[in-house]
Amino acid sequence: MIDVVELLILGTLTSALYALLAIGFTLVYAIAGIENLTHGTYVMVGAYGMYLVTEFVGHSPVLQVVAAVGVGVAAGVLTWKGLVEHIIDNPVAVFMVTLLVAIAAEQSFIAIFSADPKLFPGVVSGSIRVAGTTVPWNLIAAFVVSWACLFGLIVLIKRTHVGRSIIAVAQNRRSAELSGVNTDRVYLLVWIISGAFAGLVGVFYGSYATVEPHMWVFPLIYSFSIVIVGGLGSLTGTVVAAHIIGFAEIATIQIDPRFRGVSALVILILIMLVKPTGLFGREELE
Amino acid sequence: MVWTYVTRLAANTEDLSKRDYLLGWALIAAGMAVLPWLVSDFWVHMLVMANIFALFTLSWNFISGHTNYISFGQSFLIGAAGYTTGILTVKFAFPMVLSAPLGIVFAIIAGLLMFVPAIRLRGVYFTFVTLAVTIIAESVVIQQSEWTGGTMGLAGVPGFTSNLFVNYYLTALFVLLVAILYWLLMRSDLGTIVRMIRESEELAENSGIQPFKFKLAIFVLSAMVAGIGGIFQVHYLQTVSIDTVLYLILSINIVIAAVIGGRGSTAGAIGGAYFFILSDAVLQPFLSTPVRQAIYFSLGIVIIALSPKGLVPRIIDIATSMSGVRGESVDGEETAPHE
Repeated sequence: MIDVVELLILGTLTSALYALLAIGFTLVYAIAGIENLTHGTYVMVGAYGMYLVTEFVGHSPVLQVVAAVGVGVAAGVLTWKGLVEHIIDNPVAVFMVTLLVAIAAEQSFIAIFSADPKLFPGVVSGSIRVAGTTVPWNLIAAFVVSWACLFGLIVLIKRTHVGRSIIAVAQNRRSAELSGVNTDRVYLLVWIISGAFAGLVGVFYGSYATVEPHMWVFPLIYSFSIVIVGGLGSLTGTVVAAHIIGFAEIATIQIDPRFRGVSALVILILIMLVKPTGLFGREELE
Repeated sequence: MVWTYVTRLAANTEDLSKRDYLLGWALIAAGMAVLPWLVSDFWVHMLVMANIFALFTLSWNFISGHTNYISFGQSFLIGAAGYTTGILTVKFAFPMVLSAPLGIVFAIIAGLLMFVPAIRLRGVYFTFVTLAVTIIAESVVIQQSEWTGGTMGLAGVPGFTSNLFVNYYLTALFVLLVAILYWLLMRSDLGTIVRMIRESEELAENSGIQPFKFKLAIFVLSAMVAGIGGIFQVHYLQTVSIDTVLYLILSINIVIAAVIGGRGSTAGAIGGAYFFILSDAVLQPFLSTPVRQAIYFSLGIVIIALSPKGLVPRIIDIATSMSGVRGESVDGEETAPHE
């Protein structure tokens, strides 16, 4: 039934990727108070960016990653500047609009790329057997890259001036503005980080799921669930929740792979009923 | 003069005199009665689809028209009813007389399943739960393919009647019945309390009213109407599949159509439904499905971003101020979640 060793190994590795995925979502919520439902789409465009590079240039890891991250950033900035910035004061409208953008994007991708799933090998191919479990190198790469980015983010936030600006805006936009923080730039930076990380996730996610226009759904479900379970606006909470949901997901897949994503939603609903502010949630940021 | 009258009628439906309201609806009913004789069979078919879709948007209105609870779960409810009656008739040879009401019952049960956990959540989380439940339902239905026919669905569902016109009048009748029901409810104590809940749930609670009962009431009603719509959809098309009743995009389309028509307005819900189905039919020969969908969603994005109250109310506000008639001023409808 449940292979504990495999669960531990795969769980630890994939949870890192989930954390990378969700952290962008948390950041956007922390500073802007909105849920960006286009987040999953950034993963998708990152994956498609990588796919296009592979199609036209061939297997070149550096270029693939750059393309994915670049496209992710572009998508993020576009959503923010083109749409969300203007309706930022109405969280419900943002919710609906970003959802619509995600779905419209799916439809556009179907029109442009066709609905056929595209398979392609990961950035790093091959696998290695550890303690009786087959572990793809790609997943290990994902783990390393994710934690590198997460550490980078922590350093940015705690040790740099920019990071402190982000915290200031997260706590109170008005006060931050009054203290001379350029809030517009902070918003832009956070959206760039969010898009970049999500695009990066696309690089890895695209290789063990297939690349197809519907692929934004699961990343979004994971992001949303992780962030709510961890507590909106709490970075620690996001990382912890990413592991909870990551392990739950691997366990679920071991039991029955068709129930992917369902465990995340179930945990989400449970938390919403029991502790809506999330495990590490402080006062909900309005 | 007619223009002034119409804009006055539409500007503030809540304050209208009973007589004006009934007159307006009589006109709509008369229009609907006459319509099928004026157009070709293809369009009568589309009108039937529009009527069914109107039932969907009306069901959405029950919950989301007057409250801050935006539901994306209509397709779950519609699907519950549709699959119930479909499975019962196709797999178990139930007569429709039995399967149809059972379908509605199932829709109500589904509604309770979805809403009861969500009922204590504020705005956006409520919406997400409805979204999540619909997504889960979609995958469950695909998996249980021995019962549900998986992605292909079940064909050979019996129809109420093969006469196109009878189908039209049947569906139109239900649309009007639901509209009347909604109108009666909104004018009753239930309606007043629902509006109070919208303004401030806390205040309602402090006044000794338990919002829970009333929220439950509108959820059940919404599920019932969605169920009726689902039954019609399945028995008219004589097939039940994810693509016709349960898919997530259906919920989205319903929300967009209802918002286009104007949240909370019954005529708006019907109008929005007609607009969606008929414009889609018009464009179908020219644009492929994903393109039409993308356009429709973009339209939805623009409308929600610009006028969350809905497109038609915004147009009416503009028209009223242009024609110099005093209507109710833009009721800064707060769509941000409270609590």
